[in-house]
Amino acid sequence: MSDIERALRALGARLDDEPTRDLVPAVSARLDRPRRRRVPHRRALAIALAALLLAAATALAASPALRHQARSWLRSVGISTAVSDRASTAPIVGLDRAGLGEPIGASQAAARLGLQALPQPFGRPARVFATGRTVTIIWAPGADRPRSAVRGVGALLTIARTGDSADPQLLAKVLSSTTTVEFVPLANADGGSALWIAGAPHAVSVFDGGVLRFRLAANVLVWRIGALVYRLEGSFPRDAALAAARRAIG
Amino acid sequence: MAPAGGSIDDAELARRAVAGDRDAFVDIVRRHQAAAIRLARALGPADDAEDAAQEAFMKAHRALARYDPSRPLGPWLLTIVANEARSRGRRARRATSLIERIAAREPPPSSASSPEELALARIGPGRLVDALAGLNRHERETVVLRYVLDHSEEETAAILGCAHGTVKSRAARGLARLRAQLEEVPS
Repeated sequence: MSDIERALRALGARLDDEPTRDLVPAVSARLDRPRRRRVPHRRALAIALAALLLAAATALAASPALRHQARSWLRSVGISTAVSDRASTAPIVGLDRAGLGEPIGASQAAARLGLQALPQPFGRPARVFATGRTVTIIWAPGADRPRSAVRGVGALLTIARTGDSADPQLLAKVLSSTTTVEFVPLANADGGSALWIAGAPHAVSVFDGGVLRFRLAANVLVWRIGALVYRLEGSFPRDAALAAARRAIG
Repeated sequence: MAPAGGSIDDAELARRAVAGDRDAFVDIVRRHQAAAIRLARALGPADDAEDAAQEAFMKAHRALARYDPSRPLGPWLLTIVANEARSRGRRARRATSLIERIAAREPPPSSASSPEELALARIGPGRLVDALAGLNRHERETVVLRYVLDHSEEETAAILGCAHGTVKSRAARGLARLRAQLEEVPS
């Protein structure tokens, strides 16, 4: 050992002689405080994925096997579920409060997802937003897409990578008692099926300015292809959603 | 960096903490706080080290679900501490590090005649701290973790998020640069 190494170790020994405050009381006190919902920015992806949805109610309650199957499937794509009477009281929001992230170009958004191009089931999008590796494509209301639960929007297609999303504390919410959930056939999706959530409006968690909030959501179709989870939301009926999903898959 | 005492290993404590066991996380803090504060003192502003370590533990608590229990918990925690200390150091560029401060003091009487203190006296604490400050960040942090804080090469690699070989080469380059600056002949 050289003199330099010895001298460096002497500095280390002097460091060890410094008085040290016990961190346990302060950390304990902070752990005991009510949890704030403000979330570090790097968790935006997990939270955006949480915005992918929500879950079951009467239909699921009447069918424990389906409830288990649906919730297991949702967990597999990074989404946990709950039922709450507060679901239908969540606010209708505009795009500025929908927690979709920042506006982004379509080609840049596709690159974030590892896609050559964004799917366009309703033609050219009106807007594209992204947060982390989650992208949401927006279409204005039209003949095949009535007004959704987001003001000024006819359809939203959110696509998220699942790799960074497995944070059990941040996952989604919340159904009213008459929301229904069913698996529907969707060729080319993983497992050959998608999950359709409809009926009474449900709520989804969104990441808005660093704060976790809920907003009201319309009908939703969720499917997975490899590492990407797709969530199509609008006020259209099931068959129209499935037709749009098939166009998105191509 | 082995945990002090207790029959429950770190991975089990982490698993319990993820499941919502608050006391398990407090035990983690109890086990690792000394190493966390040492690291924060070595890499960040002197007056901010305990706060940095505390904040790092809170960040670790929020991120615990992403911890891989097949890997040692200590280096994972210390990586968060190092990031927090660096971040605070950037915000307080002119803050004094504790290493600078303690180098300016007299050696503790209990170790004044130790081979380490004698070597430090020969080189001169101020010169050594100035030479350390002259290293680039990667080399300085590697030298500090390896020789000042006495972490193993494996722990240093895990804390700094680099390969084992990178630690060896950065440590060797760092020592060589210190030697050149101090014009010391290795013994």
